[in-house]
Amino acid sequence: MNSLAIRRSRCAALALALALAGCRPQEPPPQAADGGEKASRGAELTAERFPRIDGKTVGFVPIGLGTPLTEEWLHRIRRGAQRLGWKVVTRDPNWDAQAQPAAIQSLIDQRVDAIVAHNTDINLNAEALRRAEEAGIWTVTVNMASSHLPSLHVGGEWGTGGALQAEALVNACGGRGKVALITGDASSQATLDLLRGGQKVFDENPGISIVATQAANWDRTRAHDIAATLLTQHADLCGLWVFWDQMAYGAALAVRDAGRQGQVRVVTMDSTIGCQGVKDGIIDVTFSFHVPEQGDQIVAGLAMLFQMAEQGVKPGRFHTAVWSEWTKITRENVDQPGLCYTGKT
Amino acid sequence: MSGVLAGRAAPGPARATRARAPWSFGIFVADLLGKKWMESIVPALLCALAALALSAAVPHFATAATFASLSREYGEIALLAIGETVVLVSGGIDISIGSAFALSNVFALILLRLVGAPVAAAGVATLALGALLGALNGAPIGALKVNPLLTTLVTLIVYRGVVTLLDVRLGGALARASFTDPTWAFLGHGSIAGVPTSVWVLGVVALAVHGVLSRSRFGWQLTAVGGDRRSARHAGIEVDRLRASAYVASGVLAALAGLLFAARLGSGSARTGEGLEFTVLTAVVVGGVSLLGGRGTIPRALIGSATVMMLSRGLLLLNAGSEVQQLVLAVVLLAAVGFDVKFMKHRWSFIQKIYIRPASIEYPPLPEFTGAWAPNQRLRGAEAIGLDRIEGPEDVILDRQGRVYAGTREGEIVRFGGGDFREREVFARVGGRPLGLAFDDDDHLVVCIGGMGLYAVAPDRAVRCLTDRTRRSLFRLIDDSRLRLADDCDVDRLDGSIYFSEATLRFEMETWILDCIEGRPNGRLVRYDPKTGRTETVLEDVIFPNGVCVSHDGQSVLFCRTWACDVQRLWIRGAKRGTLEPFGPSLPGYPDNVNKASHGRYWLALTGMRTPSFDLMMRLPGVRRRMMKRIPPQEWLYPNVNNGLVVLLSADGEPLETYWDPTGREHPNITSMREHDGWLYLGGLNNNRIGRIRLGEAGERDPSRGRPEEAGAPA
Repeated sequence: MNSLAIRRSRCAALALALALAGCRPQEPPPQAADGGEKASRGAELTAERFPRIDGKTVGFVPIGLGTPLTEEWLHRIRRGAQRLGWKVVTRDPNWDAQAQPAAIQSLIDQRVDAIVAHNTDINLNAEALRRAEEAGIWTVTVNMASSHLPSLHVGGEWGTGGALQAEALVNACGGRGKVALITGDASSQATLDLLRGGQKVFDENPGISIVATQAANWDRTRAHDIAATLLTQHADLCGLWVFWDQMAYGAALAVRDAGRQGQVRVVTMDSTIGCQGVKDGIIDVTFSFHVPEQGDQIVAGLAMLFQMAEQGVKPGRFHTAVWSEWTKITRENVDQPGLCYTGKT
Repeated sequence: MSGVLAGRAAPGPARATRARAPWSFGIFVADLLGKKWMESIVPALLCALAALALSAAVPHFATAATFASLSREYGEIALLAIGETVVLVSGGIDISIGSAFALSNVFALILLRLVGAPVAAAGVATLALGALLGALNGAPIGALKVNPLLTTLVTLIVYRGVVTLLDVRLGGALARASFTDPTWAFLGHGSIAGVPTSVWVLGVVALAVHGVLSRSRFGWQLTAVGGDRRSARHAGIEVDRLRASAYVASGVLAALAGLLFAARLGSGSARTGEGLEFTVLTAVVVGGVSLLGGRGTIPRALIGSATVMMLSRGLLLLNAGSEVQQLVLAVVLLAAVGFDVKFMKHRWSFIQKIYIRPASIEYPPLPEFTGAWAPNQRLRGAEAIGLDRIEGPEDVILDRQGRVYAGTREGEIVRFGGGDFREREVFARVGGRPLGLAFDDDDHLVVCIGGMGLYAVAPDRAVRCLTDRTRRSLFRLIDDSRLRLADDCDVDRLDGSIYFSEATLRFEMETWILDCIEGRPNGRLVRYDPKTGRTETVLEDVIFPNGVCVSHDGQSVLFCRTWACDVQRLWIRGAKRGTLEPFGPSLPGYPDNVNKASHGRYWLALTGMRTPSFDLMMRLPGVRRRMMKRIPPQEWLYPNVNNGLVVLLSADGEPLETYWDPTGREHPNITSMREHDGWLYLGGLNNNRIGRIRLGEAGERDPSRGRPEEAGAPA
């Protein structure tokens, strides 16, 4: 599976490199033409025919380690890196906003080959990422985008995800009722686009009224406290849309503690504690955006970027994105293998 | 005469007193610890140590790139630290700076991105907001005397709440709106001569605030308020307004830091500045700014910020999570506070303990008390002038009208006139402790004032300072340019310059006797030239130079070395110019003042007599050290300064006659004497009178002048 993936990624890299070089696919790649002997072997597709990319260093800057989400990415990136002969360095700002650009800057200072950033908000790291590209470092953003477009973005398309979750919430409420939203950092890309996607659905469902939108900044305790307050304020609340399962679990516990389970539906996304909540019956729906696969996609993307670099392509010249699949998880399918992850999958 | 004479006291011949060299490691340590910058040196060393350790332990730490990116952030943190320092120095604390910083940051971004304000206007408005946020802290603290910790805790929460509110309401719009402006970009990312803009801003602010804090009335008053609010209020300082203004300063600086942060990252994140108050407090305390108020400087804030920033960057590079960073900072903070409390508090008592470093002084044997030294009763029944109307006339002098002048313990110069010296008047109030006196050719009274320097009182009683400092010596740690204990002076009639002694650089007027317990050459001989206004040190490292007298011929200066029990002669003119030699034999007592006598002779006052027991003590510094350590000062052995006498010396310093009062009832100690018109006037540091005896054969009136001082150089 893994070797297949990497084989695939190498093909993709080659195709992309050719496209950028302005060649048509049927022409032999110029690098291959250098070694005439190898070229003459024709169709035989061996690894030697592609640029070597071992010995690279990849820097990973999440918002904070220690959550299944970020641990899973790191786990997958490490696994891929080990196989491909890369070094992975992590810089953990641990939810400290100021520390994140400093962490990226430290990786630039260290002259790594690529930086994978999970951005606290849209603007915070933009300048640091721009400078990384100026310094010839590949930039990859994961899940949370930056206003500076990277060479590669891997993540869920939050507009779509927002619409899916809002629909689930509308359905759970039977098309009418009061709902409340508990979001992440107000200036993070995920929050902004989930809201945007959800708003379209709410606009189409005038029976649904949003009584509150509060930011819990991805924090479980804060989400719990907000939910508890909302529950006392609104006795007829029918649904809570919580923008991440870590927060949703806290909010769902507040619902349970208030004895409003079944009356107040909880919709969220991501599939670790979210799955647990579904299994426990305190979260109604969660949407997976396939985090383990995202980790693999990052590795594959990096492999492509590194090979392109070996063929003279510089960072900052193009922007690509890999969008993750959305899968709805409910009581019915939560036990299916491959839907939920643990952080060490 | 330039500084040719400047030199060290040469060791005398074998029979003379032998003493140790001036340098001592203990004194060096005590002086070192006493330096004000010692409070900064430890944090500075800690900073250097952190830099070295992190460079060694953390890969990619000691690189130009790391330094460059670190310095940009340093500008912001250090600005906050400066604000916090101002507040701490004023005796308060500001824990709302992290929130004020975040609010200023998001405020600036809203103005620029959503309102569309020009950069300059947004900058000014943000700083004004900072002042307002600071005033909201300062007003309750200053006007209502609310506890600063509580007040700023409340504002920490309130400002943070506003930030969160703005984030929820405007965060999305703020994140999506783009803004580019060359000035703004320069503020956030530009550099001048390779130095980031924020560091330039910091430099200017740091210099300005340092100037205000250390050199302005405002700064001194603020420090006084922080040191002791009640005393400051009693001193007439407007405590409340000053305290409030410290918070305004802190608010403005937080806003400035927020502005730089906004320009650098452009993120209105609600997380901005969370927990920053802790980082900043750690920084300033690590730098040596006291949490208790009244003690702190801007350089210390800068040093502490550098240490803390390097630590957190180093830990980030080591990939320690921020919980580990917080833990490390907490430990560092604890250590710094502990050091602050322990070291700073006990520093002075420790210095006290090691300050006096006794050294050995070995005297030649006491002479036989026969011949000139034979005890007699000549001072008994001396006439008393101003009995119980004068306290401690250390020196006495008479003017042309025959009036007696003497300095007193109260800092006055008292004059006794009228035929029988019954008319007492305060001639001048000079302050300090007036000691040696001399008249110059224009009848100005030159006076050495302990604790102040060399002063002159004009006939119209106008007091002016002649000099209160000399050139600082090159190799001494302490600044010895100030005159601490000017003791006695004499006027060189040939060029009008004034020679005077400074008895000791290490002790004060009240503790002068401790200089004997130490027994080191701590004094100096200084010359002041009224023509040029220049003051120069003629001799350094002299054992308690006391009386000074320019010789009758003006070729040399005589001075007494009290604890060395001798008189020295320094040649200032002629072939031997610049050489130092003993004047007369070693003495059986502690010489104080030396003055001219008629017929080319000299008067010498012995303030007390040597005793075999104390001679032994002076030879054994270890005994004195143990004595100081183990028994209270009241029970120490001190030199005998309670039973003195007057000696008439020949022109070559040989004792001719002595004047004793063995009972010590009327003139327990004699520190000076002055011959005038056939009378000898006596002064004593602790006496309650001025004595006067008619001179017999020895003092038969010099036909030349009434005052031997004015005899001048005979051809």
